[in-house]
Amino acid sequence: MSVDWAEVYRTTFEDLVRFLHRKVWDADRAQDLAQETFVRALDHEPDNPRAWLFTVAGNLARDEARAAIRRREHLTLIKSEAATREPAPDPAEELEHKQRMQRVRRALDRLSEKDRDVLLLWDAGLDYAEIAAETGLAQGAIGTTLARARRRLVEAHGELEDRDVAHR
Amino acid sequence: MSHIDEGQLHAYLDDESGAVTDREAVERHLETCAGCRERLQTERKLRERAAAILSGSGPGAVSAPPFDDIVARSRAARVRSRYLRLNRLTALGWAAVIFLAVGVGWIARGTVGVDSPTQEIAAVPGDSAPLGFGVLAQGEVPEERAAPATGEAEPAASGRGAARRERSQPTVMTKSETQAEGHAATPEQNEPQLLAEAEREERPEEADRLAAVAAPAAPAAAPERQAEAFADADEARNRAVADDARLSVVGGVRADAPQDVLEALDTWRVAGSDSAEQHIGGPVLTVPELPVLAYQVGEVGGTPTVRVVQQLPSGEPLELIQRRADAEQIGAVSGVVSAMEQARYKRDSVDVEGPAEAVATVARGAYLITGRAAIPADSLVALLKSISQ
Repeated sequence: MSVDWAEVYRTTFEDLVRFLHRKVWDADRAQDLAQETFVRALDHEPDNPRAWLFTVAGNLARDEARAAIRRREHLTLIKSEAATREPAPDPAEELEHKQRMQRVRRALDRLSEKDRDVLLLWDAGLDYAEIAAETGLAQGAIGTTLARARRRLVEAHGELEDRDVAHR
Repeated sequence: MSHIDEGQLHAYLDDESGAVTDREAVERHLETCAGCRERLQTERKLRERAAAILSGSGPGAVSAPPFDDIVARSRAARVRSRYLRLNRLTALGWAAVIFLAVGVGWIARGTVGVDSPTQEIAAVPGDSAPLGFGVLAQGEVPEERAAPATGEAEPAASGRGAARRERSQPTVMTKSETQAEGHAATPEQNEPQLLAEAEREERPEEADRLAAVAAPAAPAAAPERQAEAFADADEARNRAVADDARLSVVGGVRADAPQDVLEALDTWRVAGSDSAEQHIGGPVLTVPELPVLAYQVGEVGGTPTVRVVQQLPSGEPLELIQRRADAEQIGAVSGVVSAMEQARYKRDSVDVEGPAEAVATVARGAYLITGRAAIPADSLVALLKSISQ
């Protein structure tokens, strides 16, 4: 049976961007990578398109992390130049948003890779069967892994929040 | 039922059923077990808190581009990929052919000997008269070879004479002879065919049209006619490319043109698209479907110039430097060349920052556009072809 990619695109694109954003921490880049994921997907007919898309997206995000290290300096310069042209948001709001993102990012970094992947895939809307297919875990183990990941995220985030408050 | 473990509680809260959780059994147990009910509430709060933390770090508003854009990009990627794959196969094929040829030559050298034809003819002068060769300079072609065949028996078909005649013929065939032999073509000659094959998958009717003008002469035709046909096909192909893409490649002595443009890197100032258009007094052209990272303006040799930086799917930047060209500069356009020739020209003529970086300049209307990116030169040319307002 052929995959209705237009429908999958409509229902999955946003989830994919959210998933990728937690990997690359750049909204524009996450959108680009989500598009690239679909560009590559159209050549394929996977049994489970959603799970397959997240696998490809995860690989692209890993490649992106490597490429970011190698990327030439002037691209960074150009990006920062482009960014300066955008209307400046409220500085206080912007600062708070950045701090919030940093906290979540650092809290997620404290999780094991497996726990983090399972948590982010669940957050992106995949069900247990899809998460199991994506991560290679047994379907029966997903609940336990999620419970552990959620607990560690909440604990780590709480610690970081307390530390930030103490520094103010 | 024994107490419910936290994995099952989370599966229950996530509304996972079937193999993961026997939902009814969990609910029956919760009705009778106060401890598990309390743990369920604790895990529910944990789950909600984790979800709240994650939702606060989302990417913001997500705007999906039209699905048709994704389809178009996918199609373009397929064509590029197919072309590169065919190109690699061709290169491997040629490597194998060269390897075999060298191997056979090496073996034949051991069995036939290495004496030159001149030395051998001088050693047996009596044999030369019937053949009409005389003593030839190395590489010179005997007259008989050029004469039309009469159908008469060869005057000296003996083994030594035949072998000597065979060895005295030029070993390097001309382009037309290569065509006449058959069946093999150089990578440059294969290039339009490869492009046409790649294109055929996506746009059969267009590919057939291009293939028709790029097709080499039939192998059975006479060498002279094939040479003419080859030249005609080459010219027709160039015309077709020019008509098709309205693309002219600046060749010849224009290597300095991109260079002075590229050296102006430090003079660029960030601008918006509108002010960039005002700066050069016309539309700023970009490659469709690639995001624009920056518009910049500057001057190159006193000429107002715009630099647009777009981002390739790989994340690498593509620079497009556009400026109005006067009649003399446009007149310097030497003609259309194939992508392969373009690649060679850029490789040989232009200093680039890295080994994989390519630079190409095209003329579009009254403007010259120089593109630069760390991609194969022929891919860059393909991108420049797609430039639009």
